[in-house]
This record gives sequence, C-alpha cells and structure tokens, in this order.
Amino acid sequence: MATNTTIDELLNPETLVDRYGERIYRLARRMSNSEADAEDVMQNALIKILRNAASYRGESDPMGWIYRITLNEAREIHRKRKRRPAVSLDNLPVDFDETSHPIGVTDIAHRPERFAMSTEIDDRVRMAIDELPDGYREAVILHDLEGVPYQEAANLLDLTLGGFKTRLHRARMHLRRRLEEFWKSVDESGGTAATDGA
Amino acid sequence: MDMCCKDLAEKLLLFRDGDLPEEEVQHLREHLHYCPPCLDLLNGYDEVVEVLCRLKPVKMPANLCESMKERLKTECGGTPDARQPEAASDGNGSEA
Repeated sequence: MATNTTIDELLNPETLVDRYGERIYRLARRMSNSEADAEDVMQNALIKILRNAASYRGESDPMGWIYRITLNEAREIHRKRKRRPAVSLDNLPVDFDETSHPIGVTDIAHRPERFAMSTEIDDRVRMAIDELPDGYREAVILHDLEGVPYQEAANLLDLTLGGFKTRLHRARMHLRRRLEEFWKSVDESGGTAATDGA
Repeated sequence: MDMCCKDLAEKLLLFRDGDLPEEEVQHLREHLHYCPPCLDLLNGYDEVVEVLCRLKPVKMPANLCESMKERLKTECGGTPDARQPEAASDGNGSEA
C-alpha cells in the first residue's frame, strides 16, 4: 500500500522528477522515434502522475503505475504519428514441426564469435525493434531493455504470463532473424561492418 | 522425464534468464544435449539478449531534468493541495 511518503514524492515536481524522471525518460525514449516525442511523452506522463498522485492507492513502489501511465502516453503519441506498417509475426520461425521440434531456426554460422557493437549494429537492432508490432515491441522494451520482471511486464500489457512469454519469444526470434540477415550482409560485403564500440 | 520441445520453448526463456527452478535445469540440460534444434533456439536467445544488453544506453539529456521541473510547476501550479485527481486514473495502480 502506498505510504504518505510515496504520495508526497509523487506530488512534488522536484522529487517526482529526481526520483522517477530517468526511468520515465528511458521508457519514453525507447518507445518514441525521436527525442522530441520522448520529451512530450515524459511531460504528459509526469503531468498525469502529478494530477493523480493524491488519489494513488496502489503499491508502495509506484513504478508499475508510473510505467503504465508512461506507456499509455507513448501509445497516444505513437498513434498520432504516421508509422510504417509493422512486420507480421505470423510466419516467424518459431513454430514447431510435427515432431515438435522448433522449425525455421537457422544456424548461426554467420555470427562472428566475438563481435563488437557498432553504431551500425545498434541502429539495425533499434530498427528491428521498431518494426515489431506494438505489443511485441513493448514486451522487448519492458523486459529485455528495462528489466521489468515477466509477471509485472505481463500485467502492464494486460497479458497472462504465458501470453507474455509467447510474445517475447516471437519478438526475440524476429530480432534474431534480422540479426542473421545483418551478419550475412556483413559477410557478403567482406566483413567490413564498423566496430566502434569494442 | 521426456521433454517436448513445445513445452521447452517457454522454459528456455526462464533458463536463459536464470529463472528456471533448479530441478528443471538438469532435465533441460539433458534435453539440450540430444536436441540440436532446441540448442540452436537457446543460442538464438543468447545472441539476441547479448545484443540487446549491448545497445547504447539511453540517457536523459542533462538539462531536461530541470526544464521538466519548471514545466511541471507551470502546468500544475505550485501547491499540491490545489491539485485535483483526474478521472483518468482509478488511483489503484491502473490508469485508463
């Protein structure tokens, strides 16, 4: 149950931003295509938090509530932007054959055993995340990037635990496929991908 | 215990994240030993999670913190007592 201290923190712009601003911004930025959108999401979320904090009766750690508000604000802005259609995950290589073996999983021969992250890889991965359908993108952002535990992330997305895991599974397999394509293109171009993040 | 790959897909997620109960870890390891497709699936998780972990971190711009505080004070006024909750939130951790 929320304590008076928690509510006081949420009601005060100074403590609200100092304590929760960084995490709100991170989620807003990952959910947005631009810096400007992320700032709008953050500001709208903070205003909503301030205006509703007095009636907050949730957990003593309000981060779940804050994440939900931030997610909703990000979705709202996302809807207003023209976004290219997301890829379909219906045909993702995550299904199982008649012997119940996973099918469509390719070998990872193209992946360098030791690779350094480069701006190019970073951009490719972000693009691959961005092309995921919204619910899948949110699953990756919440769990894999923000470290929100499975159950909490499932709650935020109004999914069962199993439903959330399935979504995350498919999203990761999509990202893997995109990585495979990238490694292949690196191979074909003679392995010239920049590795500036070693 | 005979493990089916379909059942394992979910467990691989937990195994990869270190959340699989110890008693199931051994069964999973045995299965992976004789099931290359599942092993490859696990390698896929490893690869993706590793890359995600190594994405450049998102940092809040240095001046945004202070400017956001100012914006909030302007938008919401200075006294908490003057604020009224919006209908959008039920105040119980769920927000419409």
